[in-house]
This record gives sequence, structure tokens and C-alpha cells, in this order.
Amino acid sequence: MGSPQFDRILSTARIRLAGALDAAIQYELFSVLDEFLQDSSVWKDELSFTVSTTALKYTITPTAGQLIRLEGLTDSAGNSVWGEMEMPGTVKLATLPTEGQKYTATVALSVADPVTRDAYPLVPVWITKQYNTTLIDGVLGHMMGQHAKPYSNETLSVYHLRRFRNGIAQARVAALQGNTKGNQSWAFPQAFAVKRKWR
Amino acid sequence: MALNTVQDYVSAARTLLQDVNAERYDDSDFVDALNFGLLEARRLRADLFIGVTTVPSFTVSNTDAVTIDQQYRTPLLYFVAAHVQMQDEEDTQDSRAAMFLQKFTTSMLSPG
Repeated sequence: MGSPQFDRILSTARIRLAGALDAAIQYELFSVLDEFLQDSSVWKDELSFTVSTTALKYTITPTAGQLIRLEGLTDSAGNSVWGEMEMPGTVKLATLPTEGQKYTATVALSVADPVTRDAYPLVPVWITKQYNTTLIDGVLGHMMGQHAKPYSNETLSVYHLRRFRNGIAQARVAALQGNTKGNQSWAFPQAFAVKRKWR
Repeated sequence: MALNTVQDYVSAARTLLQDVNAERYDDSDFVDALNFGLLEARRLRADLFIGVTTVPSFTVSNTDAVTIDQQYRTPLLYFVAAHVQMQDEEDTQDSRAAMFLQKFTTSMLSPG
């Protein structure tokens, strides 16, 4: 049983990798997706959790994938709050909250085990659609780089891996710009902003 | 014949070795060769056995399924023919056996 989400990637890989097994392609697909998501941070999610005035550490759990990076933390009013993630899944605040409220953590995600029953990684469909070509290059590069296989090809492996890394870089920039043209979603860290009350 | 079962491999190998009437080799020779071929396939191509902790082994020629990707069933057949033929001491058989073995290895490791 195939996965419609990955049909094009697998079909392209089968055509270009003579003698490759579907199971081997699936294994490499997981590694390719992990590398792509870890280095581009295109897969983000916002996880809310309730803070109290007595605790600094809180556990957050994504609905899919695995946590790799804490990208931002805001309180219920939308103000940036300083926090870190010493261990994926545990947010540690710098100071105790002054009141109980909901904080929102923006996190970057990657693929996680277990995968589906058909051994396909769980990843949003839009990522495989938008970055289809980059992922194909990653799979081809990784597969062709294997030693002593009918599809081993060092030259083409280098070529495809170079295209894969370029695709990751472009995806990272697109994510930073919020998938807009020319905008910069980065702003001066609001954690350093000082609120002043004027009478 | 789609090389699905142990019996399929035995029959196909007998055809290659021109021993369809089972006058020269026993079925057990072919079954042993199939087992050795699977071990050799595991050595050369571990990706053929993803998720398999123990390489399958067979005892008799029957309808037990030989689970291997369809792309590599013919090479496995060549190994079986090669291994069985290597029992013979005649020079002409040795060269044919070597040819079958070469076809097995080449098919496993290269597009050719």
C-alpha cells in the first residue's frame, strides 16, 4: 500500500534508481526529511501551556513530529517571554510568572518514529508538495551515495546532494521571511524591550 | 512461473541445468543452494532484508513462499543453479557454474 503524499517522490526514485527497493527508499526518505526539517525549520507549530507562579519548567508535547527547537515564547498578551528548552519538550522560564496564564511556545519540528504502518514518515502534506523537488534530490543523493548498489553513482550523488542543500537553504530563507516576497519577519528581540508607563 | 515458492526455484533451476527429470541432482541439493543463496544475498544486500531478523531457511521443496523482492528473484535463481552445478567435477560444468555465480553477483551489485 502506498502513500499518496509520497507517490511522486517514490515513483521518481524508482525510475532513477535501478534496482532500488521501496523499503530502502523509505528509510532514506525519513533521513532526508529529518535533515531537511532540522536545517530549514519550515515545520513550525504553536503549543499553548498554562503557567503558574510557582514553577519554572513546563512540559510541552506536539501533536505530531518531534520537537527540535524553541523558536519563540509569548504570554497571553502576545509579549515575548524569555525561555529555553534544555531538553526537547521541557520549557524553562527565566523568571517565575507573576500570574497564572497561558503561554504559547512556537516550536520547530522534525519527523519522528514511529512512522505510519506503511513505514512512511508523518509530515504535513504542504511540505512535501512545496518542497517536492528538494526532497527528491535528497533521496536520490542519499541513495546514489550508497556503496556497492546497482544505483550507486558518486558523481550524481554529489550533484543531487548539492541541489538538496541549496533547496534547504532556500526553504530556510522562505521560512524566515514567512513565505513572503522581500519581507523580513525578524524583528528586534522583544525580550529586551522595556515597557515604560508615562503619566 | 513467478519464482514465488521453493518449488518454483527448484523447477526453474532444473530447467537451467537441463535436469527436469531429476536424474542428476536431488531436490535437497536445490533447497540447500537456495538457503545458501539467501545467506549470500543478505551479505551483499542487507536492504533486501529490512525488518527481517533471521534469514529464511527451507528444508524441503514445497509451496513455502520465498519472500524476496521480485527484482532479485532471477539473480537468486542463478545462484541456486551455480551452487548445485559446482558439485560436479567436470570442467565444462565449472565454467557454467562460474558464469551463473557471476550473473548473481553482478545483478546484486550493479545494473548489469
